Amino acid sequence: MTVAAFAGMWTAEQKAGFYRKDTGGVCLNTKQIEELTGITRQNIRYYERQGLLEPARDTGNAYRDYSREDLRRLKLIKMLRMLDMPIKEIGLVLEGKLPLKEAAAKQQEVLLRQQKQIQAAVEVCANIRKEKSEVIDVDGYLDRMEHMAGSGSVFARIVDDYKQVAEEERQRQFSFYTDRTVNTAGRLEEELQKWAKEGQRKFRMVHPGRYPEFTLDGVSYTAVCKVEQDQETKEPRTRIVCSREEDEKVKKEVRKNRRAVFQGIYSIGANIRRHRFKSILNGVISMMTVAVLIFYLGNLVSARQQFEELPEAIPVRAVVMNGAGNLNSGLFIRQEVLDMVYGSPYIWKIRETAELVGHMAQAEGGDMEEAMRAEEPLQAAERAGAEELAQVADGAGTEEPSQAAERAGAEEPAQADQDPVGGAGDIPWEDEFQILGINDLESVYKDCEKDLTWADGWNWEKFQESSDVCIAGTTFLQGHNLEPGDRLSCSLEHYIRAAIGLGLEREGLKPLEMEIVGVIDDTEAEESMAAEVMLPLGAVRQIYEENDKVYFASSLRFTVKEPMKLNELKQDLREPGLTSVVPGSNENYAGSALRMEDDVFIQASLGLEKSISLLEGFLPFVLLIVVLSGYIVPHLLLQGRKGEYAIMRALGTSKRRSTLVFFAEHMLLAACGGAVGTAIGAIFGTADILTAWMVWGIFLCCYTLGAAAALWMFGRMSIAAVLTHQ
Amino acid sequence: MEKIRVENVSYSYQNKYQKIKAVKEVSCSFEAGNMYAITGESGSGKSTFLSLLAGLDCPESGKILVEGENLLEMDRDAYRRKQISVVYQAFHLFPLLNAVENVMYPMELQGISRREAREQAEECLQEVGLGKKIFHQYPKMMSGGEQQRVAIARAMAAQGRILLADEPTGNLDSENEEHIVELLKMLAHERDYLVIVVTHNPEVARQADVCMKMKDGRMV
Repeated sequence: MTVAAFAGMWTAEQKAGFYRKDTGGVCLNTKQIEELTGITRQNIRYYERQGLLEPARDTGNAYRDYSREDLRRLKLIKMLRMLDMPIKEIGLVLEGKLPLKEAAAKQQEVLLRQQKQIQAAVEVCANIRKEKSEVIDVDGYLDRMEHMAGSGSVFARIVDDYKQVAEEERQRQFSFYTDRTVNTAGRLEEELQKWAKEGQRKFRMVHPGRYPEFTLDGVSYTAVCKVEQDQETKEPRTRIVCSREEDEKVKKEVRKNRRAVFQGIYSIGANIRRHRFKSILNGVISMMTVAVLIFYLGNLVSARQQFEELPEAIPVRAVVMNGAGNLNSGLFIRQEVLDMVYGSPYIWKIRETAELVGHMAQAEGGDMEEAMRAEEPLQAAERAGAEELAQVADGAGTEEPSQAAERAGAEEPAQADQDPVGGAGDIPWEDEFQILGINDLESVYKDCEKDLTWADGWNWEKFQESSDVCIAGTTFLQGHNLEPGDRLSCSLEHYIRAAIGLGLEREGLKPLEMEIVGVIDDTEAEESMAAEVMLPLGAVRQIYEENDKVYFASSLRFTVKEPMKLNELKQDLREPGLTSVVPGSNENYAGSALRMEDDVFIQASLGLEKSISLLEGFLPFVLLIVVLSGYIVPHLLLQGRKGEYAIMRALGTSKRRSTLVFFAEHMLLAACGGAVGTAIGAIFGTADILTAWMVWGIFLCCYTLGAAAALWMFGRMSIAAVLTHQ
Repeated sequence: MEKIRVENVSYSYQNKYQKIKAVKEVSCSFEAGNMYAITGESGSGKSTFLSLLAGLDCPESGKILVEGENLLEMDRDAYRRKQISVVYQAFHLFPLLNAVENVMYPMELQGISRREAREQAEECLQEVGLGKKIFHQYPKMMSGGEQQRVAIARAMAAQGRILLADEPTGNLDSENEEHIVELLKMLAHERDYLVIVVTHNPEVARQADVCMKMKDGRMV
């Protein structure tokens, strides 16, 4: 059929109303029309959007029904498009506003112009090819081309480019209102096309959708629908906002990134809320695991600490006693025992005393010096007797009582002759008082230091290092009209064991004069003083040396420095002959037994040792449980969400984002639960803060490994397989 | 316009006992605006082939070109996010998200704000014929048909114009099956979607524009 026939037919049909469906004709579907015209469906749709075609719609399913006229129309459109006639011109032809011949003539001119343009460009290209050198006279060519542009050749496009740029600058963003509601991608596209058509802009859809990307005259835009309220009618209406894609892309990228972060954070929080039960379980397990380990470690540390502090908390004290264990003072404690105790590395806080008896010097008609001189022969005899007695004391109970009695009887007259009391020299001694050599004020009575007042310039250390000084009780001083700083003169006696029987006797020593350098206010003391006058222990030893007597301590107490070495200490103490107390054995004054208060300590240390070994023994298992639970719990919890992970990945969530969201969610719960457990353990347990945080750190590390391992496995799984099997 | 072209694609996977060649040298093409049905018996490789088209698995040989671009060279997460949507027999909705939230998910992945995503999700749900009463229901409260519609609405909410459906009516009764098929056809014919449906239901296959058959991993 000729073009004229087409035109005639269109004119007739125009009068009949072209866009009404021909109810008497054959209806074709899209597929059929495609096959018959050779035009793709997409192009057909495009022509429809351009308004060149409007097929009828089936009322039942809204599918397109193409009539024969539609078929003919499409064939004409195809023909004219093959002649490169613009859509606008074709529309005018189809509407009858532009005769086909005229349209053809116009198009012919256009094509001829294009031919000329192309020819000019071909010539320039040929000239450039003819150039011998690679370097051409660009300015010269441009001059010639611009001259040619003046005659409307192809080079005029540069001017058009400027126009386009200016237009682009003007059109960075624009918007328009639609007559109808736009709520689908299809309608949005239709409205954009309509707007472009009205503005005679060349529209091309690039990416359809709710946020389509399209070009207007070659410039890329994106569009978005916004619903606003009409100011006058208060009705909602749609505004389509179009933005330049380059600007929008940058803004979108920044917004997108920021939004992605916030959405990620929101997702984590939302997931924790949605998986309430699992989240609580996760947190509780973390809290309990950490708290249990902290309590456990705290107990272990505490037990070890208690064990170390046990000697101070439960000091092991020992006291030298007599064999029967009923005397702990007034004893004869040998130098060997003293040497052993003082030399032992396991002993400290040694309290030693030495008892003496003093008599205030009170001679009638005689003087002190005569009385002292009269004592000398007596002291020689007494010394001999004392040595014998010392031997008896060493081998206590070995001398027959009768022998001892004979000796004592033989010595009696001599002693009676020499006894200073009522003896030669006839010195009347009054005012006997007890003297105690001390190396610790506690020997006087407990806490007596608070009642002690030193004379000016005196202190305990100085007192211990001095020899002719003493401390006396207030009662004694008042009774003898003495004051601190006064000199106290007295004669001395020391105790010796009786020759016969188990009694004690006294033996005179050289008189002594000493300065009173300290006063103990014993007027209101709760305990009575062990003696009226105290001397430095070293001074008492010195007295014995000067009197050529064998020194014996009258009491000896000490504290075990290293109770853990009790066995070694007891071994050492046996060397000088110290034995355990044997109740019921011979009562004597020999300091030959030792009572050690170690029962409580031994029980406590054994108990602690047991606890520590138990705790240490189970520690590896407890640690293993913590490590395993830290590793397995996230594993198990995440396995239950494998399906969710697969759906996320199937919908296009990147592996990175999916992994991060899951990982962050679980780590957050573990960290919070662990922190609460740490706080509970630190507050109520006995572990220090550092231990608590260390435990938390260990748990988190294990948890991280477990979560990472589970998510690594997620990454390796086949998403399709998971979705198929669910 | 050719949307997807498959050239000599093969795929095998290893189960506990042996290596199974699920897809063997399949070549075909798919065009937008059509609904394709891929039929075949169980084990013929239809679902596996669909998972290859969805970028969930990688073929061991051959090429899959989507709008001219090789799928293997693409970011497949972005591909699944922007170019395709998949609808499953088991619906695969997020169980702890309600209908609107399920449909919002792909839009939030695109970076769309929650408010806008919510508005559009509600529009999509209405387009697939679901009323407002469904919006805040969770999948376990919905019927199979409703869940599948939500899944289709979620697919529509994504940017892509390719919709893959793996036995979308497998768990539905005949009435719902018809509605779902109509929806898929509408998307193909009215919205220019490329819809590929894997099914062993001949009724569903009959309604497709193009029917392909797979047997033993090959397209016959």
